[in-house]
Amino acid sequence: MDIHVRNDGASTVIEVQGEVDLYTSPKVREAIVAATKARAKAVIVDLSGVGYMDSSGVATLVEGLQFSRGYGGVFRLAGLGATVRQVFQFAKLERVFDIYPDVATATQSLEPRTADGS
Amino acid sequence: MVRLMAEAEGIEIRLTSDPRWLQVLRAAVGQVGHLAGLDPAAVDHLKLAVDEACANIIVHGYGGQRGQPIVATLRLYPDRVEIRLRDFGRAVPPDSIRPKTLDASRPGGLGVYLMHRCVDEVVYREADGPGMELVIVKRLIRSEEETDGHPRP
Repeated sequence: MDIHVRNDGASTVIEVQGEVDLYTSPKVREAIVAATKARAKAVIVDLSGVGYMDSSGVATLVEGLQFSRGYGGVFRLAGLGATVRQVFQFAKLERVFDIYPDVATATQSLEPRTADGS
Repeated sequence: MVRLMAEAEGIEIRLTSDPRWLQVLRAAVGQVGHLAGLDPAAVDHLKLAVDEACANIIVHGYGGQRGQPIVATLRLYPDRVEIRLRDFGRAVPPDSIRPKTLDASRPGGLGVYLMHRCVDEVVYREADGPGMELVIVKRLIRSEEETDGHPRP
């Protein structure tokens, strides 16, 4: 499993690739903890490259959501494939997280609106 | 170690309680699911159930201790895939292992819930000796033609 983290000013994007299970979820947690410790305004976890996730991965993301909410940050998930999305459905967590089709959409909605509402 | 089982349609895999082996076991379970004719979603469900069960053994049965034995027996039957997981760790009363009510603020217990959600049977048994045995069953859904050989009108 590979993790790439990039900061683009408004957000910290954690791109995860591979399978997230009991062996690899600590690495995802490490990246999330680093971002939330730095009080990133928005953390976006890009799961478009994740083909499998078990309950340890889900628990890690729940933890990230809680860390982020603890300081008023934004925590979003992007790019869930069918297999990963079904785990979220089974766990009844689809409405707990802000889930976006991709990182671009998740990031776009973070941009502040102008005074005229555009 | 992977050993062909001459007396049954299946294989036996001996792994140790190290989380890095989970992906290998998942791959084997996936292949057995495909051999059984499960559809891709059902294969994913079977893999998740077995993965969660093994993770529970590693975390709870062996308390996170590496190098302890887990024996996975993957068998094909005409009507089901049956996977037995045998460990030699801490045993608990089988009835005490139940899926908990989901709580997003405390995701613990989600693994057992997912196991029950993904397969048709999850049965914990007291083992003959130390540890526990878990039997996971995924039933094969066949069309009526395949089931009785006579197409319905």
